[in-house]
Amino acid sequence: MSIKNADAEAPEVANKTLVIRKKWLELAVYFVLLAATALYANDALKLPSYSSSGIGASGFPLLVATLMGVSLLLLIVVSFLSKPSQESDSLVEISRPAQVLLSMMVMAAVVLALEWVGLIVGIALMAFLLMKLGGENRYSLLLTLPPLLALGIYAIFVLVLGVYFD
Amino acid sequence: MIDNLLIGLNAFADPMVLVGLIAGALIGYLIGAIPGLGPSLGIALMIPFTYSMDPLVSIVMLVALFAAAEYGGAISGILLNSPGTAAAVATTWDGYPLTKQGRTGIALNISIISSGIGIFVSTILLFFTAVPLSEYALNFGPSAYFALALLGLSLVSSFSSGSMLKGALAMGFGLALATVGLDSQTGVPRFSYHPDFFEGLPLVPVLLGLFALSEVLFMIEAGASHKVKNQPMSGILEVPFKTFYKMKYLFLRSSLIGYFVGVIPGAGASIGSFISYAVAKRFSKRPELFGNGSYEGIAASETANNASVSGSLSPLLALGIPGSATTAIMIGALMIHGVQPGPLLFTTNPEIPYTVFVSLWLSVPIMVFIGLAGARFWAKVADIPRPAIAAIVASISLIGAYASTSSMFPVYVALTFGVVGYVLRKANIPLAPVILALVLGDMLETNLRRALSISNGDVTTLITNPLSATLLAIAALSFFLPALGMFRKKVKGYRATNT
Repeated sequence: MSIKNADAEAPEVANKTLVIRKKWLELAVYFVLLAATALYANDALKLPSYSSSGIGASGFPLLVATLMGVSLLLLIVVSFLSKPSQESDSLVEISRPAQVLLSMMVMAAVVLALEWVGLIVGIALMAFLLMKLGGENRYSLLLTLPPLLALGIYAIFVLVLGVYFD
Repeated sequence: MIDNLLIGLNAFADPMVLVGLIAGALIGYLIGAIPGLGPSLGIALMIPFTYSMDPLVSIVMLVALFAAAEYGGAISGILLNSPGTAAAVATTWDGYPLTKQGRTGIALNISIISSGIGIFVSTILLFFTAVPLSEYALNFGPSAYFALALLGLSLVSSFSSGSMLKGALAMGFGLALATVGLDSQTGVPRFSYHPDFFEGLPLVPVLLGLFALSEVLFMIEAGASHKVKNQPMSGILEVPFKTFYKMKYLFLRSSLIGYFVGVIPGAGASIGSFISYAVAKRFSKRPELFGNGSYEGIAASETANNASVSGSLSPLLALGIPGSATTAIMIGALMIHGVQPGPLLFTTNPEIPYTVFVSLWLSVPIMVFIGLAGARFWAKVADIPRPAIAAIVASISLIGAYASTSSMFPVYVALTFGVVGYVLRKANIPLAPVILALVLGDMLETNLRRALSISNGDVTTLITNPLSATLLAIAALSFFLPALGMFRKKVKGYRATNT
């Protein structure tokens, strides 16, 4: 894994790019899914295996767990054995990783605080922060779009569609 | 059949249905014209707005949006060489060269009219094939339905992103998600660690997370977009009728290709447009123009990718099987309004399928008018700053998820699946099979259990029925043949490097 400066055109914003070997990223995802599949299969085994209709609540989940398990094991084997045809094939780039991570955190924080801060403030705040994290630096846009968006969403969902917010 | 068509036409006596059609076409253009958004994301985003609408209005709006978004992808392709959807890639090959030659208006005109022709002709095909197909499907038993659902899933998985194993994994993941909640036959809670999970994972928040919120993270990753130079729209109303008349056989051929490719689960609009483009080049008197601004190239691609919209609606309406991520989302939208697609739909709710047919036909003049009259505006849409789009999409997704049950649980689901979708896409695991399996999971399990129950647990019942045996054989072939091809290719490559 390495970090390099990706945006040479905008030196004022140090936009980094996280470069990961494709193989390691895929293997990490496969192992996480394999662990999840094992837990899923374990829970499926605890379900009733037989009912009056013949096949119980556990039958289909066990079939699904088998499909996932076999696919994952084969993918892990293929991942270890395969060689990329070009150097670029073997890398996955995540541009602006800090901004991506912060965006996830912003969305989670706004969702958790939504009942406390209210719909209009919550949406306006989230829109402002996401735009800033997305690289928007024009304050004319940053200060006008978020409140307009929040008011628009409030008007459509609450006033027109009748969605009730606490 | 004609009587039923009048029922569909009668639906438009309600002005709100017509308003829904126009609104759908406008929003579809808007979404299609923005690079990165597309019909799947557009429909997922629009579902929350339809919760309180009349089912017919919302279905007409979503169908119009689907058709218009498929066209809208061509706008940014022609103007910026950046197709809004994968299906518009072939259009870009000739559309952008025309823009560079100062003939943007002509390229847009040909693409708009061709899209309209594609939808019009393919809806005639839809009308004459979906109805008999649904009548035939009324005879399907549980084993045939199980085999059919499996065939749909296997085709989508084998078509997706070149890796059969990743497609199978995505399919398994979606099926696992579909098993969450109370077991429909025994009432036993499965994988439900909180009462909120008893009704299963809510489909709309999962869709919003996987498609919309993951796309928001990709937009954040891409950063701010650069300002695009405005193109002059000269010649948009100056394409003579004879230009189109000369291409009459091309339109017919491309509509047929687009429609029948659209019917095949997983094939979709992009494959249809590529095949149609290649066939048009082969039949053309001036093949050397292809790739350098050929009118026939644009017409072939746009006719086929729009014809595939009607094609993909055929298995959805007649069999209740979605053939793509977009139609899987459409099924979710129909279910929210209490409409179960499938053969019974034509007898229990004939106004739904026939209104869909009529709305596709009526969408043609509306789409052509909106496209030609608003060309300058659509050109500017492609220039909306990316961070602003990300903020709008994130806000609508999260509030839309909340609006599904007026509680926070679906919002947490959407957020979680946003991150899951981002990671899966980074690992090149396709999302379409996840959604299809989530939608088809219940149908697959219920019919498997019914078939086994009828046969007292005898698994051979799945292969002794000729119809289900044929469908299962096709499913197995579609799944394993690409794998065999890839294996042969790898062995060949391995031998080549070692000799």
